[in-house]
This record gives sequence, C-alpha cells and structure tokens, in this order.
Amino acid sequence: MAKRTYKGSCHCGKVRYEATFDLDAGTTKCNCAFCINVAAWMMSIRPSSPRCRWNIWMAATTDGMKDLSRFAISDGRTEQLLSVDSILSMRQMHCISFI
Amino acid sequence: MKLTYKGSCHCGNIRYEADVDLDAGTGKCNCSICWKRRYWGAIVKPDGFRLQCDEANIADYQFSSNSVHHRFCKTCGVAAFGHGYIEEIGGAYYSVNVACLDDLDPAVLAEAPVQYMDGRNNNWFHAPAETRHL
Repeated sequence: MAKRTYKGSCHCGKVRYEATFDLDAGTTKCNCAFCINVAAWMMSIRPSSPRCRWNIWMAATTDGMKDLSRFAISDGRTEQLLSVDSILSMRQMHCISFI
Repeated sequence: MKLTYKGSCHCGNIRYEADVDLDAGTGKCNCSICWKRRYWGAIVKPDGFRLQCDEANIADYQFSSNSVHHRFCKTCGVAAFGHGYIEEIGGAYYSVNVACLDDLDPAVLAEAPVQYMDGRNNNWFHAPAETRHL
C-alpha cells in the first residue's frame, strides 16, 4: 500500500485533521500507563512532513478547537494537549491515529 | 469470580471501586464511540460501582439517544467508565473500562472472554464480521 491521505476526527467532530502516511510502514501499540488507558494505536509521521505539520496546525486553529486550553507544537509533533473536552481529541493529536 | 477492583484514569482525578467478574465476559464494540475510543468494557450493576472522587473532575459526553453517559477525565482525557439505562441489558448499568482497572495482571485480563458487538450496524447482540481492529 502506498502513502494515502486520511481524514481523522474525534467523535463529536470538534477535532479534525488530515494526515498522510503508509499503513504498511507499521503501526504501534504500547503498554505504558497512558497508552494502556486509552488503548492507543498509533501511526507516527515524520516531523519533517510539512503537510502533517500544516494540517495539525490548521486543525488547532479552527473554531472547533476553542475548547482546547493548551496546544503546543514543536518540530511538527503535538507535545501538549491538556484539558481536552474529549479523550479522542487528545488521542488523535497525540498519536495521529485513526483511519 | 467477582472481585473488587480499584479503577482510575491516568492522572488519578477519577477513582472508583467496582465489583467485576471478568470471567463473566467483557465487551468490545464497533459502534462509533467505542471504535474511536477502542473501549474495552465490563458491565456492572449500579450497586457494584462506587465512585471515590469528586464528580466535578469528570466530563460527560452524550450523543444521539443520550441513553449512555460516556464519562471521561477533564484533565487527562481517559474514559474510565460510563453509565446509562438500556432495557435490553437489564436497565440501569455501569460500564468500567477494564484498561483502567489498577493492579490487574495483563495476563489475567488477556484471558477474559470478550463479547463483540456489531453496534455500527445497530446489531448489538451479534458479533461483526471483523473484530481484529477492536
């Protein structure tokens, strides 16, 4: 499977993004305390991907993201996302997952 | 065997005790919310669930028929439990996220029977054709 661009969203639709990746490149599951709690299933995207960075930033600046009180991006990756109004917001931004 | 477990979210704002018989079965579902959350639940009766924290720290998400309260921590986002009233499963119930039960040996949890539900097609009492992703 080649790279594809996927749209992702939380359940209520406040968080929306696009991400481009190749699923065959491998997904990740982890047994750390947080990943266990949220059953995280992740797809990592290179921080150098301008598309990824731009789209995450655009998602963060849409009206739907007003509920997020803190959102920081460094090197194209989400570093902090606190006080979310939905676990899904957190997981999607944290993990760039969901297909 | 029914045992009393302590459950919590990641940051510890949500804490509860629940009487759960893992051998009686757990549930995974492909409905819209369960799939997004990859929720793995166990049903308990209301008297088998005891919240041990300030409810002010817990958000409540409802949608569609509003028959279920999908609760999650306002700080860390973890969906540690839910509750609602569904006649078909005996009325009032709580659902604990088994991934939030503390001090549970992963090998024990892995042995728990799982009932898969095809909620996506409103066919709750049957397993969907594909379950590996849940």
